[in-house]
Amino acid sequence: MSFKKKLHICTFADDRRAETAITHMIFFITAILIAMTVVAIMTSNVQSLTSSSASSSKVLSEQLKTDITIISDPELIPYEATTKEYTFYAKNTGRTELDTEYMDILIDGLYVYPDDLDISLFDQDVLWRPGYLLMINVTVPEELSDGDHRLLIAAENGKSDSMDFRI
Amino acid sequence: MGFETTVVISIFFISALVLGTHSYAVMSTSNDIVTDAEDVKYNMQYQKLNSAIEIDSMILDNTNSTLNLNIINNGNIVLDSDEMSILLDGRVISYTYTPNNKKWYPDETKIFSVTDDSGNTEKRVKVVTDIGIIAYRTGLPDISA
Repeated sequence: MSFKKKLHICTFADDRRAETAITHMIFFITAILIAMTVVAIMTSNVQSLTSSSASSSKVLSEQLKTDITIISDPELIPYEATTKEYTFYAKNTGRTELDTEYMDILIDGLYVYPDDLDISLFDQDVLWRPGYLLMINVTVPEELSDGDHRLLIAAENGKSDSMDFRI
Repeated sequence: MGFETTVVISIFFISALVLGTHSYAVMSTSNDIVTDAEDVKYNMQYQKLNSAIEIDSMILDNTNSTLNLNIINNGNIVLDSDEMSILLDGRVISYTYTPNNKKWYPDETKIFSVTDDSGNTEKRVKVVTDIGIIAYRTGLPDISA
């Protein structure tokens, strides 16, 4: 019997002493990866929460400081029969500057479309600043019926004022 | 396993510390913004509650078609004469005032003059201050001598 010597190349895996170290390394890397993933998700959620809180506080702050008052005389609303226009006046009685582009007007609960609106500032300014007066001309298809009606003006941040008036 | 646990706990701890600090800073700023806005709102309400005006009389000067409104500041707040709005028969009209001081102190009467070509007819006047305080007067005006 002849003994043939088997050729054996020694590898890292064959080293039984490294087995525990490799296992520990795998566990370690996995643990780090899981921890980092959890931290990334938590960071993303917390940042979303804080940015929402920041923007919400800004909106709330704007709403608290905004105040608009319809100053039209509720018994005498000017009406121009030739152009079928009612004229309303509103005043910025708050402490914020408002953009008249984003104003919404409702008469008797019906939205007045921008085509039927002519909003102008008495001071020929771009923004509706505190203390400034706004003139709103509303074109109607037909004259409002005699009796009580309701006007509502809403600003861009949701603050509004309403007034009952009589024709 | 001890080392892994220590590292993971350290990562969580540092992350919690960083996120907590960031969140607190943002929440604190947000709270300050809202608190400031509340202060402004309370100030507006205070001014409204302490403001009052009264149209004492309407005097028509037919010679130059001028309607003079004697208005008294009945409140405790100094008003701004430039920021007033006067509606005569439903329409906003421009005005001048005497005495010609911009500030309008409590218990002071000012004469606001507006152009009125409608003659000695019944009139309805509405006066609004810059913070939305309103006074009305309806009737025939007195005629100046």
